[in-house]
Amino acid sequence: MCHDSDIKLSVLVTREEYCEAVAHEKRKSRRHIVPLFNVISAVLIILGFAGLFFGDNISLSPAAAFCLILSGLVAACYDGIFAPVFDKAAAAREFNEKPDLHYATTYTIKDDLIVIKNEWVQGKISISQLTRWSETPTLFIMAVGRELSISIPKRLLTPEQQNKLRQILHTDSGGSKTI
Amino acid sequence: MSEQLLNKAEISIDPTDKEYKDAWLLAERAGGWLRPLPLVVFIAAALLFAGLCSLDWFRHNYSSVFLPLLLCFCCPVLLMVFFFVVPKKIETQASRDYLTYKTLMAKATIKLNADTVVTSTENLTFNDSYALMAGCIETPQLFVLIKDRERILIIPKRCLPTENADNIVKFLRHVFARKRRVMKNWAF
Repeated sequence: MCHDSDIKLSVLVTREEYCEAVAHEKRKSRRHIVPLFNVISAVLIILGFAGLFFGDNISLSPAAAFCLILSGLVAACYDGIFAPVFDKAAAAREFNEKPDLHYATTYTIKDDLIVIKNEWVQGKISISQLTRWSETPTLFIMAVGRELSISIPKRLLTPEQQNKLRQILHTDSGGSKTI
Repeated sequence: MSEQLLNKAEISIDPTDKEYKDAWLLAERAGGWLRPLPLVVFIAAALLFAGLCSLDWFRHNYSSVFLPLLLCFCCPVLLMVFFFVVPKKIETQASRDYLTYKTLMAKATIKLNADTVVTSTENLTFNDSYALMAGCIETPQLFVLIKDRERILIIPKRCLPTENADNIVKFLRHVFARKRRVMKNWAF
């Protein structure tokens, strides 16, 4: 039975939304190794400059020093420039590979469970069964292991519904939020 | 026809932890991190060959020994990464995912229809078309149907009903004729 307080949505995620959200998730999951990249890049750049100015004393040729500086710059720019491009490309490939993302899915979100209906999956899962959920600027992403993934675009939700969903996820998902 | 006879053949599936891990290794080997394994073996052999060839044997010119040694060293490192480190990582992840799988897919039964496989659990029903699946891997113990990079369907051969096992195996082989791979284990 559907109550007024339930959130009922027919969802079709666009490729752009999906790619952006996945790239955002991956960037956040990478944040703990970003300082390591910064340290490595700093060391490489310092070594490179040392090679350029004092190469004779430390047996480092100008070409090798230049390579070190270049590597340092690549490491410094990896998280900000290269990784988002790779992540979006991987997400686009993933989007193409998942046929269930290309068709509409109906979700009914009740207080403690989500009812799912599309051509491939039908049924309900308890919010407490979620193993992971995250919120990106465009999507709410929820997953139950590898078997089930739910993406809900924020554009389909009113601010009140967004708050309600956030609250449900915070209270009932057993602290499974990863990002 | 055997396909018609097999319509709605029901199998109760209950993969073990080991079967689940094996299935994920097979899936990753077919289309994931372990896919470039043959290429890696070739590159490792080429590195070893290049390293040994450039070792400057018997001329005792030690100034050029570092690069050949580095090339030789890369060979076992590459093999170790792809034969031990990556599979171990996949197994660890699969062990974690198995707990969720076990909860979500408890008392799962699959129905092999002519063009779809329907997986029913207590709360969910998955309906997957064979045509949209990426492939099928057959080992002596398992059928692994690959839905996409994140999802697979594991059918342990021990779960096939004994009276119909041969027909079901024949049916799956027939359905995935072009997309079926036969493997002994995840590596070969």
